Amino acid sequence: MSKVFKALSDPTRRRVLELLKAGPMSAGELSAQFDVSKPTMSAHFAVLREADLVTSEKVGKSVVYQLKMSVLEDALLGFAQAFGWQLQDIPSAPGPKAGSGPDSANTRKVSDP
Amino acid sequence: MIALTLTAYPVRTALLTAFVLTVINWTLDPGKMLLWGGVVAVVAAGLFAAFTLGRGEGQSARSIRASLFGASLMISGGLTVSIGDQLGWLSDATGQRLFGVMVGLMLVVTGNFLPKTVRPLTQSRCDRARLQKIERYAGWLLVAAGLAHTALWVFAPADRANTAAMMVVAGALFLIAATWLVVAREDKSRARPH
Repeated sequence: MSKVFKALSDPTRRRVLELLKAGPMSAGELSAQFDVSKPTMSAHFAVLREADLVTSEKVGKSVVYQLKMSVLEDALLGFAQAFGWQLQDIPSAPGPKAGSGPDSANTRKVSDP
Repeated sequence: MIALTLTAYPVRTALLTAFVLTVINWTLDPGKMLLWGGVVAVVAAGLFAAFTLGRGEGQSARSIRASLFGASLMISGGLTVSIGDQLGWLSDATGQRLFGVMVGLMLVVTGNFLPKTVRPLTQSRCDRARLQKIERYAGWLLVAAGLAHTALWVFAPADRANTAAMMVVAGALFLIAATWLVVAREDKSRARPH
C-alpha cells in the first residue's frame, strides 16, 4: 500500500495515470506530454509498475502502458488530485528540485494548501 | 493490493480456521453430513492449493493466495453465522442481516478488483480503450451497489432490506449488462464490411 501512496504522491505520475484513463499509450506518446528527460520518465514508469498501477507490454518496437488500478486506487488518485499530495524537498537538504525526479532522496510528504 | 502483500501464512491460517469451523458445524448438526462433507472437501482442496500452488512469489502464486484468502474468509463468515444460529446466539433476523452484509462486502471486493484484471494487448481483439472504460465503470458500479447492499442490510427494516438490496444489485447488474451489450453491438457493426 505504501508503494501506491508513493506512486500517487508525484504530480507527474498522477498525470500519467490520468492520461492512461483514456486508453493504453506507448512510452513515447506519454513522454511527449511532459517536459522531462527520458530517463526521468522511465523512472516514473518504473515506480508506477512497481506499485502495480500500470502494466507494460512490448508491442512491435514500442512499450505500451495500460492502466491497472482498482476502484480504491482510482479513488485514492482522485483524492490525491483534489488535495494535491506531493513530495517536496526538505528546505535545508541539498538535492534535486521537487517533482524534477521520480524518487528524490531528500523528500517528505506534504499537502498543497 | 491484497495480492501484493499477502504471504502464505495468513492464507493457511484462514483456511485452517474454515476447516475447524466446518468440523464444529458438523458436530453441532450431524444430520447434514453431505453438506458438511462437501464443505470439508472444498476447504481441503483450498489447503492443498495453498501448500502447493501458492508457494512461489510470482504473480500467479500471489493471485492464487489472494483468491484462496478471499474464499476462506467468505466460507468462515458463513460458517460462523451458522454456528451462532445453531447455538441460539443469533436471532433469525440477525443471521440474515449478517449474511446480507457479507454478500454486500463480497460485491465491494469483486467490484474493486474488476478493473485490475488486465489482459495482454497482444491477446485482445477488441478496442482496449473502450474495454478499460467499461471495466472501470462496472467496477465503480459494483462497489457502489455492494456498499448500498451492505448499508441496507444494516439500517433498513428487516422486512424491506432483502427486496431493496436485491433491487439495487439487480439494477447495477442490468446497467453493466446493458452497457456491455451496446458496446458489443457497436463493435460488431464496426467490424462488419460495408
